[in-house]
Amino acid sequence: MMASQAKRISFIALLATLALIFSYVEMLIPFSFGIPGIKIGIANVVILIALYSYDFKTAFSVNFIRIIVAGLLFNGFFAAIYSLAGGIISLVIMSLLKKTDKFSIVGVSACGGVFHNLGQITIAAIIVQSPKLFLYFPVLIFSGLATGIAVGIISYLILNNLPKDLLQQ
Amino acid sequence: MFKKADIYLYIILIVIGLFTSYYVSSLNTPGTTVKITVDGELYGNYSLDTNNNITIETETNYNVIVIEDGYVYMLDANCPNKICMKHSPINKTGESIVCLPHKVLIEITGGEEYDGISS
Repeated sequence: MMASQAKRISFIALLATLALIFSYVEMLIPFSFGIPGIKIGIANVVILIALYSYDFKTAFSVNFIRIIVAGLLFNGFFAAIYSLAGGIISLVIMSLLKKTDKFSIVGVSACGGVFHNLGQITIAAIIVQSPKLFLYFPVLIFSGLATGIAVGIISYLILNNLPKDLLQQ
Repeated sequence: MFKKADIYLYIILIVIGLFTSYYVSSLNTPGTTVKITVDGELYGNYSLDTNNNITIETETNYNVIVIEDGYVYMLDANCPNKICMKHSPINKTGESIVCLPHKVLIEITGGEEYDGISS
């Protein structure tokens, strides 16, 4: 019991660090579609792998640590709030979809991408007190879908190529 | 890697996306007025037809908004992420540029009266 708990904690720390590095790498890539705030979200590969290899709790911890530390280190307080809203909503949705066992990891990730964007725009609309931001809705659905599928495919390939005993509890 | 239910999921999301983008594009016509809101309160309305430079200054923050040839954009700001400055110029109703750290919102509207702050 003690040993597995210690292993879990160290894995959360390891995955959180990895996710943080991905966040940082993504920040270094200059990458613009003319609409600000759209990015691939490579760090979500780590979150997705945490969700599939462990459970919701682990993925949540990893994501929470990543967003808070990334906020403190480079993104700033506001970015952390948006990321947190998007991250939590998308993780809940992905966890629910995964539980139905009807969707592949790519489908789960695509839906997670869409809801990540919708969570962020909701918080943004609340902060600037303007529902007009929801006019970005269609753009966010398509970009979330595209980035979510990309993240899902990467995660699928990684999960299939990792040594099976590496992530066993 | 793919399951049948995935396809339905993608189709549903794409249909929702297409439907909303059709709805949004039907709302978007070239606007006449630039409405600037700071922290939820109206800062001012400006004509989109007149070239203009608007500087919003508080004790620590500043945003420089430029109206030029019927388009609005954020020229300069001292916010940490500069996302507002990366936004391409806007001219259609419903479009907006947001500077979230400063809670500055630039919107295009049509037909509203603009006041005389501009000159």
